[in-house]
Amino acid sequence: MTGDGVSETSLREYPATQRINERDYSGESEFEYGSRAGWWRLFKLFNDYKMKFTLYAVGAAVEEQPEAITRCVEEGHDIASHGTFVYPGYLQPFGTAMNAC
Amino acid sequence: MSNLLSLKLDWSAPTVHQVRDAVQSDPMSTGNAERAEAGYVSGNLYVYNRSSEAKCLSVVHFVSTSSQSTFASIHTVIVTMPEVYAAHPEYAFPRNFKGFGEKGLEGLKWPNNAKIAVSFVINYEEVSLIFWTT
Repeated sequence: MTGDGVSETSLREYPATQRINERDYSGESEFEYGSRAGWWRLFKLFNDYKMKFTLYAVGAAVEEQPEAITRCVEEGHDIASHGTFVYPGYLQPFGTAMNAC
Repeated sequence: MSNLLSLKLDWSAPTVHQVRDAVQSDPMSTGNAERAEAGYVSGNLYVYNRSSEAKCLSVVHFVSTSSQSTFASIHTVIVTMPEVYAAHPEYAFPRNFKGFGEKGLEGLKWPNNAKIAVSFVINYEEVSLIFWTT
C-alpha cells in the first residue's frame, strides 16, 4: 500500500487476499518485523562470525530505514540493487510501463 | 476457455476484483507446483501503468508446455486501477519500520536475567467466524 491502492499479498507468511484502498495491518506487521528486528538479528550474526554478505536491497524498503545500508557499508558488506520495488514491472521508472491504455 | 480470455474478448471494463477472481478461478493461471506437475509452466505478469490518467493494470497471462517451452497464449486485460491509498485524516497512524533499531531496547532486563520469555496465547473465537458470511 505504498504508492498504490492495493495491499501486498506475496512474500507473506500466510495466504492473503488483496485489500483495496484499505490497510492490511497483519501484513504490515509481518514486513515490519523484518525491518525492525529480523534484519538486525541476521546482521549481528554475520558480524559476529566475521562473514561478509551482499545485501540485495529494494530501494523503497531501505529508504524507510537508511541505517540498514549505512551500517552495512561501515561493516564492509556489499550492497546490490533489487530495483526500486520488488516487482519486475517496477524496475522501470513510473510512467514507462510497457502497455498503452 | 479461461475466464481471463473471455474478459479480453468482451473488452469490458472489469474491476480489479473481477480480474483477480478470474485469475484465481482460471485453472491455467496459477504458477505453482501443481500446474508444473501437470506439464505446464504458467503464470501471470502484472504490469501497472501509472502513466495514463486512467490508471491501468495489464495482466499478461502466459502458459507454456514444459516440453516445448513456447508461449501457448498471451492475454492482456486492461482494467481500472483503484485509487492510490490515502490515509484517513483522523484515525490513520503511520507505519513503524525502525522500531528500537540495531541496539534494541537499551537497558532492557528481564526478571531473573532470563534470556527467553515465553508468552502463552489462547485464541477464544468459537462461533465468531460466522459473521464473515453476513
